[in-house]
Amino acid sequence: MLLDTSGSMFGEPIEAVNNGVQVLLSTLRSDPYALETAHLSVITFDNSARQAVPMTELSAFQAPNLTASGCTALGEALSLVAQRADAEVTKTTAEKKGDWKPLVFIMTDGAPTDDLQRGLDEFKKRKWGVVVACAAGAAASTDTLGKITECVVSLDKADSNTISKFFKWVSASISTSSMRVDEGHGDVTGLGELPPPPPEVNIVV
Amino acid sequence: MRRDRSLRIIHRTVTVDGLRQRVAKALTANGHTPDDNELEKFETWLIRRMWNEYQTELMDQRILARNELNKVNLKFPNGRQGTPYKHTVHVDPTVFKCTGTSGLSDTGLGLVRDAQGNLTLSGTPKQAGDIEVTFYFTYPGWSEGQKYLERQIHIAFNTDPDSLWQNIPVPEGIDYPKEDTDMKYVSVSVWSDIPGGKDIVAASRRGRSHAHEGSPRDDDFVVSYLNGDEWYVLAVADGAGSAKYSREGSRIACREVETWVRLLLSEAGSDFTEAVTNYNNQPTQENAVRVGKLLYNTIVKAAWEASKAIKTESDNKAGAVVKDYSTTLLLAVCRKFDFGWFVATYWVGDGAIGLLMNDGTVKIMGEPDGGEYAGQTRFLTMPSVFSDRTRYRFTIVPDFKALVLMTDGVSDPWFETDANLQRSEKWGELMKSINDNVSLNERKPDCAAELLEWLGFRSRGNHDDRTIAILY
Repeated sequence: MLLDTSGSMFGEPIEAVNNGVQVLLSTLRSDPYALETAHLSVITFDNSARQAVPMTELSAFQAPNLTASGCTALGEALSLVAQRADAEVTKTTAEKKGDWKPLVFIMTDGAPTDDLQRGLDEFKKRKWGVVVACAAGAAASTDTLGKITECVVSLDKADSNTISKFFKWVSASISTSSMRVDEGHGDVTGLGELPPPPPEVNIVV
Repeated sequence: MRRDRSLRIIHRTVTVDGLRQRVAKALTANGHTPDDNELEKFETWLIRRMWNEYQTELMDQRILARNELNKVNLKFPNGRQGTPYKHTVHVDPTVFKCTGTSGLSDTGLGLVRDAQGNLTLSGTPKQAGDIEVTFYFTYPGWSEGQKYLERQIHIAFNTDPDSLWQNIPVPEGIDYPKEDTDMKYVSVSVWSDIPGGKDIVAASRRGRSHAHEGSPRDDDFVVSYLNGDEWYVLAVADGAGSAKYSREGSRIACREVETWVRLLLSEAGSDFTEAVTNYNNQPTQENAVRVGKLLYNTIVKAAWEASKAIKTESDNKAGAVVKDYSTTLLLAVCRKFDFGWFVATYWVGDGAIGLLMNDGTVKIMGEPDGGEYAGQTRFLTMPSVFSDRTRYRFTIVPDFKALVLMTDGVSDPWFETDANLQRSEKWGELMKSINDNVSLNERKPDCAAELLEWLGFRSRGNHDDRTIAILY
């Protein structure tokens, strides 16, 4: 999860994100598929990008307490997630079945303030499962997010209700994917393989 | 003592008076002579102001201390409901002294503090879920009556995944019902006149993922020995999870392939014996081709007939297509000759067939289809599999320890990758686990129930139906 912690997220939005992560965790912890297979990592971006929680199995994961300030270094966040994936996602070898391709959920309420292209180039070099970019509120640019992935969703408002709906959908998506890989159907690669989003989460075509 | 105290009081009065006098003197020098009233007001103002400043400084000290406290590593890992929990962190008591916690009541956990600053949370978590614990600390500059500093932490107690897996019965009245488990023991060794005769044990059980959704077992198997023609027949099949009638596909595949292979082997009769004997005496290409042709007309034809039977069933079922019956099929036939054991196999899809030799080595009797790309396996119901001539294998060995057939529900957790399938130590681990739980050496029908029980082994992320058949 790549989460925007820039100054514009201050107040209700960041609290909603913190709650959203908590709800996501408690929901997933009651799902045996997710509990056995899902690993999570949180990367935040404001003036710079930072891995708030390294890739951790769900049962051991502890939610970070996110605070909001500064700009929107989304480009740096994309490079960081690429680097961390190299380090933390196990590759399949002849002797060892590696991890499934990571699902990436990006949430931002603004436009990147750094060099997006550089991060994007790094990001595109890696293999991902589904990459979902969420534009939270009117100030977020769906066009920019469209450069990162074809799966762009938008939230009309960055309020606590809407953000919580988004996180519930993320959690359902993780559940679906862990069940899918358990049953041997392989990686999730498109939005169509995730559960349909709630009305608050609009699919940007 | 008393004298000292009175002296000190006098001294303080003198000092305050001294301050007033000095203020009066300084003001007089500046051309203003204050009266007593003015001096007293000034003094009150000065004290109040300094007091406020003092309070602000204390507050700043508290904020600084709080920032420091927030940096202290106070991390408690998550735990598991019902499983004893104990974790200790250390906080330097000369800086931050812990005075207690809140949020632990009714959690089953308690805090133990010692003089060295070790804070231990221990106990057995009663409930699953998140708890929020607040720790209270004194800090440098803290004095009695002031509020403590607080640190909040979250600990999650996970539910035992075993208790999260539901076991939902398959709804009544579905098409093609199937028992959740099946097992069979074929006893040959105790009564047959084949010296060193072998038995078969087989078991199959519905996977946790199917039980969780109340969907039926899609795997199937068949094992038999026919006295008279002395052929052992073993087959396991895994109906595709995404195909709605695959449980019937796997059932038909096993039943039909057995019926047909018995019929065809019996028809081939002495031809077969002769071809195998010739090949054993002279393992030339020509003799191998002859055995191959006979196998093609027996085991491959039987598989073909099984796929036709599935097609017929799908044609007769309203609203069904043959894809709905998608299934893998792993077949082995085996017979003892004077010179040794003849083993032939036919393999479509994932799973594994291994021939374990007495010296611990293993011969893999075929190639799994598309194991590297999960979900892209081949099925018996695909016409293309019959244009492929590499699906059958045979070998002649003096003796062997076990011939093992399994669906991917068993091979995935034990081998993970196709490369591991070739490694005899991986087979050794599998057989050790089976031998530790199933008393194979006793050659009793009870082994089937033990094998069924063993199939319930735990493996993270592997909850498919599991089926295994062993000739030993």
